[in-house]
Amino acid sequence: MKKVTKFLSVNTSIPILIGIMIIATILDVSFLAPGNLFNVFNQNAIKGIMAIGMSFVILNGFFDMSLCTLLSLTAALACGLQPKIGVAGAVLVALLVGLLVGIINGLLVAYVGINAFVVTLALMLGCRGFAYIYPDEQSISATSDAFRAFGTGKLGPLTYISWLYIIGLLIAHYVLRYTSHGRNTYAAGGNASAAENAGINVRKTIFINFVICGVLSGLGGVLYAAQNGASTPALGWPDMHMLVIAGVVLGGTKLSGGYGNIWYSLIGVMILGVVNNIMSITNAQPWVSTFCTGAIMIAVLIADKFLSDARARAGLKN
Amino acid sequence: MKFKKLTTLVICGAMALSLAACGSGGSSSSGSASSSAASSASASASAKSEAVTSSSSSGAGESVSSGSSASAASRPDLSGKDLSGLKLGMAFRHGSNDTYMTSYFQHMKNYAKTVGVDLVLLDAVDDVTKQTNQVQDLIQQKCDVIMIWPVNSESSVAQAKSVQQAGIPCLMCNSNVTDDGIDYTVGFVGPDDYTEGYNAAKQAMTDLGSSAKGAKVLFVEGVNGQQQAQARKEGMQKAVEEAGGTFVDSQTSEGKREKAQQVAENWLVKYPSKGDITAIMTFDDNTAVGVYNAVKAAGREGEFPIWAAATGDYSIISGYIKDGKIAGASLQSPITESETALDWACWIALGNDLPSKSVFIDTPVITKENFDQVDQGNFEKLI
Repeated sequence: MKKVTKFLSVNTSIPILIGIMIIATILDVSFLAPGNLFNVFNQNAIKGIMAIGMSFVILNGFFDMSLCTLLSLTAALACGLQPKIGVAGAVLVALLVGLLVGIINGLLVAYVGINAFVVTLALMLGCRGFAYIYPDEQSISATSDAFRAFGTGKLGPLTYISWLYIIGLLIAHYVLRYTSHGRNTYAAGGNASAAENAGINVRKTIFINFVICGVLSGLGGVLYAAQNGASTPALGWPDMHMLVIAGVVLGGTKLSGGYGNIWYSLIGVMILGVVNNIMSITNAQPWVSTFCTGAIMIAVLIADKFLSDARARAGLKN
Repeated sequence: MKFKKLTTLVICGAMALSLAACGSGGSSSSGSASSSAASSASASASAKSEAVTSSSSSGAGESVSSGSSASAASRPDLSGKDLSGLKLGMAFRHGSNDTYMTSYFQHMKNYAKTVGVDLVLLDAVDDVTKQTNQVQDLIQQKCDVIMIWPVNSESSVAQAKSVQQAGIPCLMCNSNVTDDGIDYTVGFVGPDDYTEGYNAAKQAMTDLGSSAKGAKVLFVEGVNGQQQAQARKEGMQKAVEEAGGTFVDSQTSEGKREKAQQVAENWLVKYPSKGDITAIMTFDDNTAVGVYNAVKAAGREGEFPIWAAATGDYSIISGYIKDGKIAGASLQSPITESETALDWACWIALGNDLPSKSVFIDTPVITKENFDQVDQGNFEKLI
């Protein structure tokens, strides 16, 4: 029991998720229906995939704002290029654009040393421009039936996209936990100069993490296009990046870097998903959802601070 | 260090250029209703406001929705029907985007309570990903009918398909799916955008009299690629050309009043003399006000008429059309449109079919001459 209590006090997002689910059930018992729970997971799988990429960057001590418009651009490319080069070619080009944006972000932050906020904001605006210029400010329907079928198809109760998310979580867990890049990410995020002194190539680590985030953000756009059967220039605008960052932080990963894991991101994204689901079930205004998300974030961060301080004091006493 | 500074400067410059290059973007590019002109403005079902100029709102061939359309303003007879056991769901585009949508949204909620039907009304706040999730939530809640006012017409095809696959009738409201999604829906209730534009422009050309032939008309467009705006433009252009006029220039307002004003200001400089412009037409009332502001500031009020394809905002109708600042527009009532949509949704939920694939609501042309026939009760003033 003591172990469980300690586990829950370290991983505060778990009792918070459980608490929110209990509140949701009290408000409407249909929340607990298996169909609804799977629905929540399916609805948030794409955000979850993007949160994987964002987690790498946040663990490294940065964040990426360009996500919200990059996904619109890659969605447009994934749809718009299908008639010309086929669906595989279109998806590949879209992912390459995500890769390119990640490379630019990584180079400027890691090697030139410019503030990540400025760099990723600039890329966000640039991608927004291209996301409107390329499709001539229009929506583009996906022509490939296979593409659309992948976006909406299911295997059991989960969509193909959800299964892709699960695979992504497992790969990300392995990389963070068992590879040198993962260890370097935590080290560089915790204390960059100490990591540098320990012989870690901090710049390369930062660069790789921005590239991972760029590719996964681009993938997010492709998946939204598959799910919706079309791209829209305003996809993701104005706050998709904030929701993804919120999901990562809500789960317990520290924005300052060096602390967290990929499962925290899963929990954080699901907390946001459950809150939105409750709003739909109870027919609440969307602004109530936004307010609740903000309130929960503050509560999580305050609780985490108290618990961290308590642990530190307990450590000092011993 | 120098390289870092230089790169920072370059990035800031790129940001500035990106901001300049960006379109206004805003909402999705097709399908959804735009600004306060909204989609359909129809007089109440009791049809007090039959306009002086006749405007059949039945589909004029090239309407947004394909298929045949019912006659205007038809509503089902729900008297004596027990609606309390019905559960309806509506995925709404944006409940507070503009006056029209806000009126529609609020009234839909209130009207559902009045008729005693359980309505789950979800607001996507113009986010297509949110709307996709909300449609899934409505399916989970096992609604009898799901109505969709789409954020985006192309994306709503997948949404309509998932509703149909769940065995639930999908009714499109105000803006329709694109053609390849029509078969997934049971129908559409809303305005006939093409006819609105056509009728308003036809009245405009009639009022011009002998100036109609050879008329030089300038047109203010809506958001590029938005189906509703495109349909209204096509309708207006057709009527203008039938009367012997031409669209001399046509530019986008990006759906915004301020941008429409800028466009008009540029035109007033480009066409400085009296007679250079025979009329200015716009895709909605909000942008028509922007044009009027430019014309007034240039001191050219009264030189040529300003017409809007459609209007759904009583403050604009009473503030501008009543005294002729804006010459006229096809009238839309968010009250009537929302009630008509809910009535037909109940009808479908009771196991009936729509009388036709598209049910268009009445959109008579309003000018200052027949302003008295506008029923203020068909609009809601917002505080």
